[in-house]
Amino acid sequence: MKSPKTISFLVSLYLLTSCSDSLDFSQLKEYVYKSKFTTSLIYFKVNPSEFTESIGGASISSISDEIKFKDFQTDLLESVLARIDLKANIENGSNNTLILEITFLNRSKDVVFETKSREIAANTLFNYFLIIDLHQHPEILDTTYLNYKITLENDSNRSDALNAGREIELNSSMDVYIEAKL
Amino acid sequence: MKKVFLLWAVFCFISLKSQNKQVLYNFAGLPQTLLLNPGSEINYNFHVGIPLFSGISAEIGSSGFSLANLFADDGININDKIETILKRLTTQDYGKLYAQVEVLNAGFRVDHRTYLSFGFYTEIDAFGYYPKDVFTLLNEGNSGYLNNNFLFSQIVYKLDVLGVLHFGASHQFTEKLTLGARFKVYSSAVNMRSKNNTGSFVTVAGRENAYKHIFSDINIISNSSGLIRNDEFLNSAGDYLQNVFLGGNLGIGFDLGITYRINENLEFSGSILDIGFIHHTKDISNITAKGSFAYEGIQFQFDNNQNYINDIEARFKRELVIAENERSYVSLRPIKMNAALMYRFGDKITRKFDNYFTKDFYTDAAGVQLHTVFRPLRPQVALTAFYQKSLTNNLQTKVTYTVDDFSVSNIGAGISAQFKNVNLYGLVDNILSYRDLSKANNISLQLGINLIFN
Repeated sequence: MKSPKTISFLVSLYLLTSCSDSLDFSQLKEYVYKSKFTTSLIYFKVNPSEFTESIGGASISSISDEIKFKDFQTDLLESVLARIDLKANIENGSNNTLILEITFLNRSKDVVFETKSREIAANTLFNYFLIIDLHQHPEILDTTYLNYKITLENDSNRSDALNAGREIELNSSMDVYIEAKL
Repeated sequence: MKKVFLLWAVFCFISLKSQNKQVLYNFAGLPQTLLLNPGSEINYNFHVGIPLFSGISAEIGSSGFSLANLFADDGININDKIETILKRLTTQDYGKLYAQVEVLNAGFRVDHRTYLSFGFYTEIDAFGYYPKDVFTLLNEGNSGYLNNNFLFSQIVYKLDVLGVLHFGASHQFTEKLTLGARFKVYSSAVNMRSKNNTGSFVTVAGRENAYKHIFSDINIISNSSGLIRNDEFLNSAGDYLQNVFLGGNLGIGFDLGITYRINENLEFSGSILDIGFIHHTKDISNITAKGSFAYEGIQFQFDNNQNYINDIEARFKRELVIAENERSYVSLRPIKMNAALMYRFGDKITRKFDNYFTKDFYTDAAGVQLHTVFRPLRPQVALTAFYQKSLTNNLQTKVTYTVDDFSVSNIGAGISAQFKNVNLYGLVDNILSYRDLSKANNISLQLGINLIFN
């Protein structure tokens, strides 16, 4: 019986002294979920003739449109949104200077975040890039409406400027940076 | 986000599969070997397991990473570790956890050729491949993966919590041939599964806008039973327990086994287990997603009357239909196969069993075993070489070396001791990993107490 006893002892000793490197499950508290999603946003193609000329004014006219987000969309993002990069390419094919304004509005249509308006010369391509840091601008989380407004300046000497120009084209996208701790 | 991570963690650590019990297979004539091969030769007259303690099996494993890779106290940032693991995972990697507890196990000899056995055990048996693309999309986003197809076909998982009532017979037809069969009634408490999914998600350069997001040929099905009733999760342990004990979704199945003595020393044995199905009819919740959807952004119309988000949502619902239903479904049990070739040698011992019969035994045996379990993507195979020795009449040992998906250095060991009519056994697998359990990709053990009467 010496042999079995020895084997049993050795097996027991091995199992009892088996060990594991110290694991630190509390590391999960340090885990920060970070991801970056790219999504298409607004696009349009509009003919200058769709702008109506105002008499005697500095601008010919402006057109605007907006997206209305649903509450759950902003609620969902509220706790995890870290940064938004707004990118747009605007091709001003018209013979007039174009002004682009992007405005973030709350439910009551009050401005919560206003971007600097961009002036784009006639017949030029402009790359628009805006970084919005949510830590610096948490008010943007109150956004319900995203409004795009385009104004054509009355800076053309040609009386048929609106009809002569090519289209105004915009395409845009958004990089959404998400950060969340467990 | 917490939920996403929780799901991810659950998937990583609680993804499960049925267990390869290579140390237990054909070992020491234990009653539990009958569950691995109903055609095993049984050399005693009566056995009964100590209820709840006769057979306890557990196994946890992950072919992609170990706990130490993730939680070692090594000063590396946890985010970097997770990123490294996700990059290293392949679509062939999987996680598993298995647990089985015998509630009742008993058997008796009818005559010198026939042994009947029966019992009831509960089992958690599940399995899941790591859906690398889905993990990557959730963890990193799509920005760094433009033009990259994220495949939903990688979502393959199965989880079963069930009770099994079984009744089997082992019959020695000739001196050489013993055949056996076991009939099983399954009672599923919980079933979750998703497989045969198709579809992909990709972000590419758009024609009208900067990017185009495309969901192509999506056909994802997720079935569950026993979890949700009237749109609410069952949260009573009593419900689950009742369902395990034949109150759940029922099914039937059977095992077949053979032992054939080629000559006095050489023996072949084999079995095919869990040829069966469960018909899920209670507390069903099936979720399906089917269709294709492409999104290039919102095209402004400048009429100020458009509700763009509503329009997109409506189009999404129309083109990529996500639906729930409570239709019954059938799940097949994962079929397992065992085969072994064993050569006996050493000292020859002749034992007499009551007045029934006498039998020759050898103190030593060596051989090879093959275990296969059929999984959705491919069968998983484990090849084992073993050596077993009777140290005394009452003490038997077995050592195994197994090559499988997890390791080429899997050494297992088992011991079975008989103190009068009390039999104790303990078997561990992957014994080298006990030097550092946290680095093990796979750990399993079986232990139990039986009363055996010769």
